[in-house]
Amino acid sequence: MFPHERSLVERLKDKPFALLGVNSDKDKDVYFAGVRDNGITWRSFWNGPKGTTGPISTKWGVRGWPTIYVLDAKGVIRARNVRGEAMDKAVDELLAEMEKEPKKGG
Amino acid sequence: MNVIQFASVALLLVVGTAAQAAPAQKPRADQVEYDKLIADWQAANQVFVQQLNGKQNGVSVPDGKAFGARAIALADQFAGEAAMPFLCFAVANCVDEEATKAVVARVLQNHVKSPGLATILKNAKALLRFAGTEDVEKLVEAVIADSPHALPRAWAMHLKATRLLNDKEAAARLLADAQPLAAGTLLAETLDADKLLADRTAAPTFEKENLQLGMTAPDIVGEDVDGVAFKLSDYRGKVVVLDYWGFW
Repeated sequence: MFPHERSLVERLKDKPFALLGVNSDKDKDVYFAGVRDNGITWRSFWNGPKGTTGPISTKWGVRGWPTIYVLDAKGVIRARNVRGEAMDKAVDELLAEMEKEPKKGG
Repeated sequence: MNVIQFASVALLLVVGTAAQAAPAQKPRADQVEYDKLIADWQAANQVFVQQLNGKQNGVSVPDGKAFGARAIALADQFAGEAAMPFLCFAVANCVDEEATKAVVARVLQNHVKSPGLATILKNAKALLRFAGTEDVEKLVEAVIADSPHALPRAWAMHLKATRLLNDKEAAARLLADAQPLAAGTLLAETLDADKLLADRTAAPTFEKENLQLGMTAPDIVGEDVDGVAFKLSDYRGKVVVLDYWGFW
């Protein structure tokens, strides 16, 4: 899955888009090694030393990994658990929606 | 009558315990005095019990105040560990405010590290009732911090724990104080467990009420893997893919 997400981030680097992770590696060394070996360029919250039972994922009730939420520019949840092409499509639609809307301050 | 009879039995039992607690190897003088004290105390209780059994009116309860004063005076006469049996006797038997206060004062001054302190600290009720919570707390903290002996420390902790169980606010304050001290350790995880459990229990409701399509995503306030603080809401104005992931 990383190559796909990497290409999404690369393709949209000039757009108002961000891929954010909630990283659930217990061991930060595993994370740093993984980042190096997989060319991860996006930022993640760290879910803490309890890994998948850390505070953020527990609060959100995450049971499957990965779990994906797609949010629009206002922070509204617009899609859940879209992967691969479906993820791209959801993001592209939201970006198109933004471009159609008249610009507002803030 | 039954209550008084029960009380007399209880008094005799405490005498037995105090007598056993007396160290076997003692300089002659304090041992002799201790034996005399116990003999007099038992005799006084004997009279009391006989009067009770004879259903006599106006029974004479052993004079805790007088015995307490005598025990304290003897404790002052003998230095070091030799004073301890007298102090133990006063707390365990005399049910007297003056004597109990005197015991706590002397222990704080001279006997915080005594191995015999366990026998005194066992009497939590008498200590708290007569010597006042402030001085007893001072004593308990001193013993926990400074005693090299396991048993007195255990009794001090037991006393403290008993008080905390009865004082939920103090317990909550202590827990809040402990949390930052334990940050990043296994203890912190244990302390955190209650919160985690609460979150886990609340998750299905949280998901139903906050994480459905069309709802504004709840903010996430946290740190990135380099320890830099940031928020999900920092990214308003951008389309965001939020990905719960890991390498494992």
